[in-house]
Amino acid sequence: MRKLLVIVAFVSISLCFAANPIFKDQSFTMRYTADPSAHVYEGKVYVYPSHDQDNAAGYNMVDYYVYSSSDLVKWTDHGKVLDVKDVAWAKEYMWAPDCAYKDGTYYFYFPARGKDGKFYIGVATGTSPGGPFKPETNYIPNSFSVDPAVFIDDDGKAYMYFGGDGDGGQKQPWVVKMKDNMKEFDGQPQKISGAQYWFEACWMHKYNNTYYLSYSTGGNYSGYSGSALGYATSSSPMGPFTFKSIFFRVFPDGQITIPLSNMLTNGICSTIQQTVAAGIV
Amino acid sequence: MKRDLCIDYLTYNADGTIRMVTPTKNGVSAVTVSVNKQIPDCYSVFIKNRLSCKQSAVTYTLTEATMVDLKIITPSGRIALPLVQGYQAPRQYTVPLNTSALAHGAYRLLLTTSSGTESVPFFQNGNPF
Repeated sequence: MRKLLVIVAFVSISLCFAANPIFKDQSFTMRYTADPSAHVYEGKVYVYPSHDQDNAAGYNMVDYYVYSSSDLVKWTDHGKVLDVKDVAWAKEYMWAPDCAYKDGTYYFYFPARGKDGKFYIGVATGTSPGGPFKPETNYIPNSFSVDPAVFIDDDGKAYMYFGGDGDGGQKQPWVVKMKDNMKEFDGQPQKISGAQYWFEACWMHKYNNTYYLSYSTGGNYSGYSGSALGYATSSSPMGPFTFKSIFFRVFPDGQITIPLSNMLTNGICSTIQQTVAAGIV
Repeated sequence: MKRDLCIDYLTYNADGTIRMVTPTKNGVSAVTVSVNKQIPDCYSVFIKNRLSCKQSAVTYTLTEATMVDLKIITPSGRIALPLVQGYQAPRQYTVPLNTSALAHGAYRLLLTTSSGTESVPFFQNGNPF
């Protein structure tokens, strides 16, 4: 099967070149996007970002769109997959989402500020990675804060990493095991230790049996004036973690990078980061 | 805010530590090209598949105006078949390939732009594309 795929790829001799930002010069109308998470589903890379409206003032995002690609160059717009109007408990601020797959169902996780003024994490489900997703009536019980990232380990157990320094002064990220139904926490969230300079935007991936927790440092990294990305590792998905290093800094011309998604697909490691565009939009 | 997403490569050192990512404005090349580079066996498989050869063409996308040099070269670097040479506007190009005049042997498809050079090795078995 692998050889067959290689034949198809080679015969097409597809020398495509991408450009950053990735959704520029596509066949669909470009939207402003941020806070990406990325997963490989059904042979394609699916990206789940938040959506900056064209007339955005601040960070009041109100809906989500999903994109996919089979080569990281040409992208497909799957349209709107969720709107704040369809979420009974949510009022505004639909920030960094994520998606997870289990037993035939895609679980779309998203934070939002509820009608009581507090942030919670919700979940919506669908049968396709490109959505649409139907939200649960209420947010995940005992959830709080923002930026959920759900990681499913090799044994099938799922973990959610979340938190944001910008939301209520959270000073550390959190991790919690998920129940098998993927809609509830299995126990209370625990503080993550070792994520030095952490600011927001947790992401978890596993490489050679090591768990990599990566995140945005915001302005917390004292050795650098701009935003950066750092990571810490552990032998357990629950930690404790050991800080390793900063591995991404802003563009030399001053563009700012914040959250990220690390993914491993077809032997190609990529990091997707958002850019606050400074003249390249 | 009006933000955008970018992609760049992430690689590891032998000890598992993450190398410093270099942010670019070029992004990443298509995954298919990289897969071919990593699996040399594909060339021998390719020889056996005559039917698929008829579908060959080179497709590339320029994100900015640039000088373009597209050609097929031999392992020694000699130009076996020039395809495109000139200044091109930013858009996608598809160049049909007819390699019936090439002798049997190994070749390399070479695309050079202001962003750098990409190449794809292939084997000509005497059958036209």
